[in-house]
Amino acid sequence: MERRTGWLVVLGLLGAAGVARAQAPESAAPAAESAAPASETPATAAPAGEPAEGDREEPVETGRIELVPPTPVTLPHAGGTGRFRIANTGTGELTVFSVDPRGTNAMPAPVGFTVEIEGGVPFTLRPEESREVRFRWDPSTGRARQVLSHVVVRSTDRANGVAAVAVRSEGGAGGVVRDHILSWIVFFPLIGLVLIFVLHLQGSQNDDTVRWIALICSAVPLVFGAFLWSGFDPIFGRADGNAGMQFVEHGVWIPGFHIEYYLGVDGVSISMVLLTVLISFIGVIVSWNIEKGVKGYFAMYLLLETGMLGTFVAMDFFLFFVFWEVMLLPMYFLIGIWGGPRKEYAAIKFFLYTLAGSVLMLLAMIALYFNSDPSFLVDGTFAPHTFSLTELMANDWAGKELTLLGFAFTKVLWIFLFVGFAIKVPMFPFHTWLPDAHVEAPTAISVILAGVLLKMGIYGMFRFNFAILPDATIWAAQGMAVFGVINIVYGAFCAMAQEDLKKLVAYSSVSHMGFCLLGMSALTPQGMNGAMLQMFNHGTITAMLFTLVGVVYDRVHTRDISKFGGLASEMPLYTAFAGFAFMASLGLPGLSGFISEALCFLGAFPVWQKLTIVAASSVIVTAAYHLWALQRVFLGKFNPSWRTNKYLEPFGGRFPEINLREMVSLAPLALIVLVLGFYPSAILDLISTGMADLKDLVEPTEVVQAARGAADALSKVAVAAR
Amino acid sequence: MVGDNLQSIRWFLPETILIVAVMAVILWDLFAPRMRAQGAAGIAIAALLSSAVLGFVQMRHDPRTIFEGLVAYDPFANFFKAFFGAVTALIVVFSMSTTEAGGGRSKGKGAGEFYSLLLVITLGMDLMASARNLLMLYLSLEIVSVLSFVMVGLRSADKRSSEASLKYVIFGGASSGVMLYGMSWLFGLSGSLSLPAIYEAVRAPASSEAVFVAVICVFAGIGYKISAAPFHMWAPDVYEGAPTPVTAFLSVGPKAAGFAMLLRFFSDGLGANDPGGQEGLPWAVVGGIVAALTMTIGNFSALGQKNMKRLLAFSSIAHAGYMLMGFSVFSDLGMRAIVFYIAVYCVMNVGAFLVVHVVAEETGSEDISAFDGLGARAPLLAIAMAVFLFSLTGLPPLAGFVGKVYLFASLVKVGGTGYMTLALIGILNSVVSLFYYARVLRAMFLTKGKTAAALPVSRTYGYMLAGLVVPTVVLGLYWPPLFDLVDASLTFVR
Repeated sequence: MERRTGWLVVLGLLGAAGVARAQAPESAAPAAESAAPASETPATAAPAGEPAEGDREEPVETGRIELVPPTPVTLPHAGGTGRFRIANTGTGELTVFSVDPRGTNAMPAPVGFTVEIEGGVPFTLRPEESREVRFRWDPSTGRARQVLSHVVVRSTDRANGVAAVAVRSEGGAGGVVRDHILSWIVFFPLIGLVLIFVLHLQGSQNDDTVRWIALICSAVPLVFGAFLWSGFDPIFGRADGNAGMQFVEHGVWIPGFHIEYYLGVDGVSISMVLLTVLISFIGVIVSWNIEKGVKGYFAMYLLLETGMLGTFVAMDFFLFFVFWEVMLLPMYFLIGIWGGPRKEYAAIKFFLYTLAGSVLMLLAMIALYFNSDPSFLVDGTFAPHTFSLTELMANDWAGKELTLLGFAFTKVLWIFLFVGFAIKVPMFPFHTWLPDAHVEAPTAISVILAGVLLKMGIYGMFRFNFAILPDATIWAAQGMAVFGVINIVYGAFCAMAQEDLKKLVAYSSVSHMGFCLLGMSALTPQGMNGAMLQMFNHGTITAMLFTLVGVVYDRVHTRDISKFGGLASEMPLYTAFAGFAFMASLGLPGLSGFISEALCFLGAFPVWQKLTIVAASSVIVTAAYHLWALQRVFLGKFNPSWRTNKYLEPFGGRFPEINLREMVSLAPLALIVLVLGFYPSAILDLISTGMADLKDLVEPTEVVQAARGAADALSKVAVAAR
Repeated sequence: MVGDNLQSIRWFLPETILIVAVMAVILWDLFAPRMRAQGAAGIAIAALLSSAVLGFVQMRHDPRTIFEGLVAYDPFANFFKAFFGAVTALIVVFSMSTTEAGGGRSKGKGAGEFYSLLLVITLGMDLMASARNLLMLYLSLEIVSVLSFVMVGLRSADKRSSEASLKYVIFGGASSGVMLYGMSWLFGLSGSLSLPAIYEAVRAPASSEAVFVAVICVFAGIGYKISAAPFHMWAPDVYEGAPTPVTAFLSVGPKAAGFAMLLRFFSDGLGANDPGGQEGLPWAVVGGIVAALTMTIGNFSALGQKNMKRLLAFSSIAHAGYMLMGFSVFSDLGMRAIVFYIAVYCVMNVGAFLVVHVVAEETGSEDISAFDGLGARAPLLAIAMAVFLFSLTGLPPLAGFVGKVYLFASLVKVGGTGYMTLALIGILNSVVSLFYYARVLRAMFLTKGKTAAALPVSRTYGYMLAGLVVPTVVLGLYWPPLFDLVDASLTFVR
């Protein structure tokens, strides 16, 4: 802008400010009179100037509660005590019924968190009286290592019948990183994104720097993930407190809309977090030979990694949704710019399909929010509605007996959420985006797509459909099983028909995710554990498969099965890896795929006998297409026209063997597949408690059901008695 | 109520500043020896920003009515004064280097007209947001409309511009006529032109069918301004033919003023926001049908467009449809959602038009094909456009997503089959909109351009784009300041 116009603007602004200030004193008086009463949260005291209600004749209780101090209390990590006072600032009597740590029978407060009040409850306070409450946090008495809870005070106060003070334990001596390990894991790749952007602004043309930045920014979350694994307590469940979540980070993000920044891992998500950090790291190694647009590629890649990690650890629905959608953007560009011949079609198809599912999820999220029970945000403020997943899990949705669009609320929402996740799984008939996206995406992106993104659909079903809407899950279980079997059978037959090696692997993914659906729909411990294990195993196996396809595509730029043959004599080491991967994929006993598939069948057979028989029979088809592809590509006669192929000219007409970089990307996965084939407890131990808690929600055993019902009835009576 | 007209001027300061600035711009244009265009622009920006700051400061004052009750002075009106001042100032900076506004080849010719017209339109918009009287509503609407007709036709050498202007005149004239007819019926039913009297008459109407017909006619006029279906037909041609800065202005300024007028008319004149205020009168159903129609027509028509400005015009229609969802429910949350969405929509839309303008200046074409290869030619420009397009689609973590969440939340909060169906239509429309926004993305990033030469972006435009991208991203992550401001503004003087 010209300098003189700039001066005119400044003068004008000064003039406006002067006029505004001249106006202000005149209107200060009327402004003060009309000062709107500040809208305070009910948990804090009302202003003292309000007229007392106690002027009426009848002795109506008009006590008013005030918790002093109302702010959240932080206790030391190793344990400590805190106190607050309950004061009656009203003009009548105030009877306090209970002062407890916040929790229900299903989701109790951590074991070491106790509250005591002198004289016990109930007690009555006269006006201006107060009583002290002491609470103690002693982590040595239970398994919980942190407490993020409230002390809930129930009284006869008309406005704040249920008030709370928030209590949290500060981090341990681990320092900034170890206390917020999940945030570091999720957001560390963004540091790489910022660095790459800075490099771009500086006009740097050095692609190698970008590659190493990406590698380091993927390696660091891997290291953090290893630390997470070592610090994860496998036996910690919902009964131990904190809703079964570990490494919790919980803060308020948007107070007005009751959105929180809530991260945590439990048995359901730990294996996925570990899978994601591993596959992302390997993906960077696989992407090393991207030549054009390296900066943009790795920038999008790191953003994608943040989105994926965030989805698995987010425990607030809004936060989860943000991370879920954040994944779509980079995927569109990664497929659309660095993909194969039909990349634009594949990219927009993927984007549109997934967005359609996501907006249904958005509607379900808002509907759940507005119909949720009141609760407290982590800092003690009262929230009439909530997005927090642990709170939503605690709501009895079936008991609310709501309707939506004329049907049962829970069923409609279950379907909305399920469609959103089913598109990701991908479940027949929402699977048509997968073959296109997988085939056209560059190798590393296929690895990530198949290795991690598909798992998000199943994870979402566990975390939302199963945990929040268990009654509707029981209603829909048979449908899930049927679709799972369709996936298995249809996917297998489609894979057998493929001529493109990558498309064959894509359809095999469709088929393998069907095992997850079948296992989880049975709602048995083996089935659900099998589904979770299958997610992890399939992630590693399919990552290997796509990397291997990428190896041969890099060399000769074709994946047509019919053109190959006899590669075993050209690339023996590559054939060894490929053979191993194919065997793992078809479920050879001794490798990890077998254990998870067997668990799924074991879990599903008692419940869906016929469906499991059909699914188990199709294992023959699975073996068939794998072995057939193996035979056509690696065994048999070598096609001599390869000797004069233009791509093999620099190598003298011979196929170059698999190189060190490619082996480095395959070796960790192969090792994991091998180890888990003999020692699946490595993962099963991590997940079993979390899955047991989940299974409890969906189909509680008689004993648990009776106990929970009795306890909840008691607490209802206590609340109704005030 | 401040009765005396002279006394009311004290409460009319932002508008007075604009009036003085109009005269100053004209005088400057006539007598300034040098720097005709820049000086006029500077005066305009100074006046607009002052009126914006004043409007913002005045939000804290008591509500009152001025000019014998014709004009309202309440937080709602003052919020929009601040909003219009800021938006128009943005447009002035946008247009400073264009030929219609005296930059570039014109060497200062036309600057005075352009900026004075903009200032008077802003005055009209301020009045649209403050009017409490049917005649005042009509007058302010006409000020904005008639001068918009002129501004659309400013590119006098371009036949499309004149054609667009004529189409706008015809359509605007017809709509205003229908609106006036409806207003005459409301006058007949209530015996008065002021909104509170109409409110009383509508409580116990002589004939509720007459009220319905009258309000539909008035809605025709307002609907034309906000480009709601079926009064949207002018938008694509006018947006395409007008100079790009004028198009950007039309898509945010008068549209927002139309929504302000809609909110005040239905809330104060018809009591749509009162508890139970919608019984007996089918505003919810009418609003719902109009919203669904507008969204669907806007999104599906945009699918086939090849011209960027036409595409953004249809997208603009669709966004009016999303906002009309909040109108259909007309709850407290619904009204806040509309105003919040207006604010974030302004940022995204002006940004998108700015990028279109920059590309059109360099390549000479306003087609989508002009964007081919932009990712390689001007990466930051393409990234900015991607941010705006994703925000318009409603993807987190951008501001457009938050706006859409509030609109859907207002529907779901009330619940019921009708509103949930509308919400379903809304979300499906969002998915459809991705398809045509992605077409632009595909051109920018996935298609090779005709040349690989870098596309120069002037520093002013660069800063403006940065200034628009940053709120789009930041408001998507932390929006309570804006929402609290919107919340504070939704107080009408009764």
